[in-house]
Amino acid sequence: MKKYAEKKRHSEEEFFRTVAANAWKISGCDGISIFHCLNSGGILKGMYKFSGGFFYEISENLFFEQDDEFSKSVFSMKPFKAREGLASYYYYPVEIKGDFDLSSFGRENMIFFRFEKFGGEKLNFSKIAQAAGALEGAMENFYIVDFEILKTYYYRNINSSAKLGEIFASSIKTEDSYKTIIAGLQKHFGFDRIRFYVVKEQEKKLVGAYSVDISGKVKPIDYDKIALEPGAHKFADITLGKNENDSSAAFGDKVFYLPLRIENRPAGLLIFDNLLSQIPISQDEKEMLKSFAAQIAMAVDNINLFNKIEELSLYDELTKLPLRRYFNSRFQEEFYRAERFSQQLSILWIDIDYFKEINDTYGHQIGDMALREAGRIINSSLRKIDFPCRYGGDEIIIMLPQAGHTEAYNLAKRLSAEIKNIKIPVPFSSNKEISLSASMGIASYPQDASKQEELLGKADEALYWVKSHGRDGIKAYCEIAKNDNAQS
Amino acid sequence: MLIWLLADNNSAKYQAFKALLSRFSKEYPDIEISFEIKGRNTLWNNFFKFLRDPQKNPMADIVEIPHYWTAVFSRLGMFLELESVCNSIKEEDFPAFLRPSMKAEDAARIFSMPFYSEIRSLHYRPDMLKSAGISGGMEMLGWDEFLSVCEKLYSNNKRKDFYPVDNFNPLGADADDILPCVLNRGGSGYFSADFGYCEIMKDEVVEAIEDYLGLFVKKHLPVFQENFYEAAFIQSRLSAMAFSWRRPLRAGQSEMKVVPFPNIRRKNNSARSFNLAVTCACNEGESAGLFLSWLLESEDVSIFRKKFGVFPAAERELKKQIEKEQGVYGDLFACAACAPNFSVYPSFEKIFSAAIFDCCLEILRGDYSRENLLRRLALIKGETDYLLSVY
Repeated sequence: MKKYAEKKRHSEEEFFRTVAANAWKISGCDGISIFHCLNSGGILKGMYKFSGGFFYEISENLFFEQDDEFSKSVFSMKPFKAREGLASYYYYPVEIKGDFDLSSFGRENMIFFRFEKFGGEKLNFSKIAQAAGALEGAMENFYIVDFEILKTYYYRNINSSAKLGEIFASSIKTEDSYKTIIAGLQKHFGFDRIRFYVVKEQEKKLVGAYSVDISGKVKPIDYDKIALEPGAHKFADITLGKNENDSSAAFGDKVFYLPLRIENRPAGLLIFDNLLSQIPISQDEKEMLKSFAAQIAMAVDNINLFNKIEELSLYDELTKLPLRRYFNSRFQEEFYRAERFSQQLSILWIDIDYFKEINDTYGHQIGDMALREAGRIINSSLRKIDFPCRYGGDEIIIMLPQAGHTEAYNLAKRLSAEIKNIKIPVPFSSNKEISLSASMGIASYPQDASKQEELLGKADEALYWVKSHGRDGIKAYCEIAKNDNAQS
Repeated sequence: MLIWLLADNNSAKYQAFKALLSRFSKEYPDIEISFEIKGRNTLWNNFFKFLRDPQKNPMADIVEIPHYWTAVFSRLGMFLELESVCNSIKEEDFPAFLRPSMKAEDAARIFSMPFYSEIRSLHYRPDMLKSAGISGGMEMLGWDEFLSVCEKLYSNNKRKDFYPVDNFNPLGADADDILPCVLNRGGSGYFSADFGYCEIMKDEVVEAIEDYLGLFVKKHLPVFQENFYEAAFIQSRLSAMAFSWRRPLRAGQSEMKVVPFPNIRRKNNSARSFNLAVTCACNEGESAGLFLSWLLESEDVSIFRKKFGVFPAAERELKKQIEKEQGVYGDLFACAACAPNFSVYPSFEKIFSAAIFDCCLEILRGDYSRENLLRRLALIKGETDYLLSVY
């Protein structure tokens, strides 16, 4: 036993293996079983057994009632004999001493050792007394086991706090910040599944961001959208603070909801579950997750803020189209890609007809409305790889990777028709509304130009041609060049 | 190579397995092989711990599992495809009722090999029944007739710790124990035929659960008690009958008789198997394959099975065993059916068993009610149906 106590690290199982094997050897019994006493449930729950040279877990429950031998023994701490069928038992209670709160580890502070003899044989009580003496001595070292468990928990928590803190702090810099947060949480806690929902304030919705499974695989769940209103959904209520975690409700302690709030404003919701494994989420885990809630909420807020700033610096607030600076950097990248992979790339340059006149006649508010509508139509009509931009004033450029002048022409025709459908209400004018039209010029790489500036210049030339030929039309640079060549 | 063997109420299994491994080691002295005994909960938790962090959590090379764990853990990537380590394992070498337990739910590939099988039956002491005035007719016993046999035995015995039926399950009752009652009531199990939803709230299933729990309420069956094998309640005449999954028990000098689980209206008999799977942590695939092939061929395995009273899993061996015993087992195995093997079933089984445990505690405390049972079953249905929609 001394040797055992000297060991630096023990697990509960190892501890009981050593203790039970020793008691078995001294007592001459057929088996030594170890039970822990769940006072609250009136149950002795089987833990381990040493018998026939084997140490193993047992699944044996014994119920004790008021005033029976078990319950007397629990309160008086006195051992007692029992005979069941052909088995003779001697139950020996041992209180676990120490200042540790064991309840959080699922144990209460009393262990029963059962000395067993089978087949109608009798127990040897003098040998059992010796074994019990050794047990008492050994159990005094049980606090070492708990100390080790507590230490492991403590270091795990410190370690997790530090690492997760870093993740939350750095998540603003990463491209996929929500993904980083959820993956970090899964790595450190390990649940069957974590789901991450964020609040979209403008939409008044709780929108799924990502879900991560037990293997760490992260999947988007942006299809999951919940109205953020009281009573709309359980998740909405929890996020809004109208419904707290209730371990007695459905799913019990296998699911934990962590609402994220910033200054009383809902920011999101994390849902942790162990539904497949049915392993309860411990109070320790819940407390630790709660301690991270503020940091995660802050990270979510930072991400939102960062996205907003980025949006403001790269996008035009009025048309929601990217600004010229953003376009220039993307144009450079795409032009390089087109050169390298010998792909086509077209530029469609759009000018809203008579925009200056609209502004001068009806005022800037109507002019802004016209631009906003044109931007909305353009944003909703493009392929994912197309890149529009508000180049300045009423001029809009669209970069069309992997498209020649035919594809660009088709898009221009569609856009032109949709722009003509725009009706801007002007209540104070006799017409009550105005219609828009646009002039469009197209140039394509490599047919029309071999350099970026040259390509933009050729598209501008095509646009100029349309503007100088009555506006409301589309022209590709190659057509003007053909005409010019024909005329010369 | 390390094997994690499932803990068993009959500790004879450990000695028998140790002997089995030493015979294997004699034939293959170059392969180092050992085993550890793991409780079912620990094994389950260890699998999940390993899946979450394989670096920090140890895992055995071969594991013994209940048959219905195959689907979920092969789906989670825990088990190796058996054909990749042992090409002598053929699905057709096992009886039809065990074949679904070898595979993942959506694949034809084999992930576990049935090691031994069990079937639910009723064992009784003819001498004790005779002294209670019951003779014959046990083979065709309906559920109500079975209850009246229990009543007679109970009223005929003066010992306060006497129970007509002994309980093999020291945890009270679980999904496996109650399943034969569900089949008795005409149900096909706890799930719809396509495993699309949980049918635990269907009348026949609720009634079946009440049938089994009723045995506790009427004190025909002890809720919790000391280990059946060690205390030998039947041998010491503290019980006259037992529901068992295994081969005939012994009661002193006389062997007990075996009949089908009460109620002959039932179409199927509840059976189950315990399977071996090679884990993804196994670095010795060749040795694992050799061991499994050896188990399929070796005569020594039948000695292992006999030691703790279970049945063979391979069809040829099972037929041989049934012919040798010439008892009721031929008829029982002829319509054997296992609990289904699909991803959500083990989670359901855990939820259900936990609820039944709570019911058992209520029965002991005298505050069991049908309303509480129905409330629990409704929660189980909700949770299981949700799991079915996710996994």
